[in-house]
Amino acid sequence: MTGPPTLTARRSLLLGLLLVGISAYFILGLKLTELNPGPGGLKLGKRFFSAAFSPALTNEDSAALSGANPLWKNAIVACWETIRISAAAVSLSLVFGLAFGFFGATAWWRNRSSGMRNPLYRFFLRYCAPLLYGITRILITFTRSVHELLWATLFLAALGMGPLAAVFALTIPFSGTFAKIFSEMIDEADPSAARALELAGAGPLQVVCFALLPAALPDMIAYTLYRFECGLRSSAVMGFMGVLTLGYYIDASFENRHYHEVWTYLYAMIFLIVFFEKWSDAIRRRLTEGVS
Amino acid sequence: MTLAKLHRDRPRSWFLIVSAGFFLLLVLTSWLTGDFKLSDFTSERSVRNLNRFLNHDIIPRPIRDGEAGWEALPSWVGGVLARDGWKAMGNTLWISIVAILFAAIGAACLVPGAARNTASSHPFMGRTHPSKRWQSVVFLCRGLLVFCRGIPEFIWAFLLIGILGINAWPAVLALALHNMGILGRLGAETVENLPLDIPRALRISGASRRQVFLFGIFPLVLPRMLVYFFYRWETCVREATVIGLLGISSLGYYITEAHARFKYDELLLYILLGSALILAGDFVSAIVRKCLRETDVEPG
Repeated sequence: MTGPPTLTARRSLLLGLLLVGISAYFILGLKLTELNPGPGGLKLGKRFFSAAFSPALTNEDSAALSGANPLWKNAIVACWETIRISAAAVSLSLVFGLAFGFFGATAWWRNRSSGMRNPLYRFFLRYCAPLLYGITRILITFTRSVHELLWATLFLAALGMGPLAAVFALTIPFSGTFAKIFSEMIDEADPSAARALELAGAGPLQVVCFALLPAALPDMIAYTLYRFECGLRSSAVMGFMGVLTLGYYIDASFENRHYHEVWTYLYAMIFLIVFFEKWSDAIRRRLTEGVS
Repeated sequence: MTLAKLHRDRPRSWFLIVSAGFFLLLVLTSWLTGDFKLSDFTSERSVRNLNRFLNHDIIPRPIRDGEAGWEALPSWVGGVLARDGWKAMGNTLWISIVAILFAAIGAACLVPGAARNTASSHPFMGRTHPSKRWQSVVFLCRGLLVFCRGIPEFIWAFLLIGILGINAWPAVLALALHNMGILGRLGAETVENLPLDIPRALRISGASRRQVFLFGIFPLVLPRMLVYFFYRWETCVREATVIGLLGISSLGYYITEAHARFKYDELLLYILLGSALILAGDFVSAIVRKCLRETDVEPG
């Protein structure tokens, strides 16, 4: 009597993952006792987490900072700065992403040169396009593999930090990601329309603009919205590098031990992210299911 | 005539039009009202700084000091690797692996409560009126997931370091909490979109809730969840690198240290090491995801 196999591919994968995880746990030297923060940390943790139920509505020490902005105003300004940096960075990287995504795609030049009459076109498609493709791919991979905070660190070291530097630090890796995803979407778009246009004598740019892009457009819009959400998170975190987004205020309030204020900002951030998440979900649904 | 009619009757959505207008406006106002000064980059001082940075600061020290030529580069890189580099890369990798596993376990525990078709008094029996009790279970589980993923990893780590002090736990927990929120949401969506026949058949033949979940749902959602798992692991490697900026000994820690000591040559090297690690992680994950997609056909 033979039962079902006991060690299928899936089971061994799960088991392997678990083993790797357990060994990583011991290599890191994690100890459960280190999770106990000691009496001081415990008190602090208690104070911090109990503040979650009573986020501050006004500045916690109004006496010392009588000239400072009221808390609600700070929160709104911080949210707006977070949105602004994200919107600027995403729109800029969208431009770069579209350009690099075009050169990083293969659909418009691979196996297309034979039909071309114009020798210049043929030469371009056969030799220049693959070269451009290779360069673009390397560029995309490199820009993506460095985290935006590290780009920010580099900017900080080379130039100093300002809002524009934060936008550029976000733009570099985001452009790479956009280009990667867009080129994949263009390559995976339904090729029949492209084929038809090509037979009618359209050039590569025309094929991309009128056949491949329209087919990939709903997915591209949906992905852009998703990137905007990521941008909100990242621009909030940029606050830790000194830009006046939500992270900056969280950092400052935590260092001053104004835990109730910290929670106000945290809730503001959660609200911001959930709001745009729900909104873009609604847009995505209408885009993919078709408008009725 | 017909063309005009087609054009008139084309599908339109006010919601989409208004949204598009809003986002366009948002982008315009951000560029116009943002405090973005190009002079940050073109002023004399920043050009000078940039020049020094590129032509002096980031050149490896022995070469910059004229002690050796560029042929000394490998030994310099080897020296940094032997001193801290390997350890930093290892720590980054191990933190990401432990964290993503914790995240997956946490998410697996929360998914049955967060998916509307399991968290009901008649699981999988179609939409009956959910009782108040089950509604509050769903609300609580989803609320917890939203809360966890609404706060970025970096900020979780910052808060947890304040409480737990500096060791590897805050990094692991920060990554685990945030990714638990994301994996939990994706898991709940996957479970809600499952075809109902298998779990329903199990339920009708008398399986308990736990049995339905373990033997009906878990195998069905596993292939897709594994794909999400590896995708999130890639981001974990990325984030584990930068969480070190807060003082935990992953690559980011050595980056800030190099920055603080003005050793920009080492700063650049550590950043490149991080990018090598991320590329390796992406590569492994892409291969595993490809295999998963090829071996496991869609459930159903």
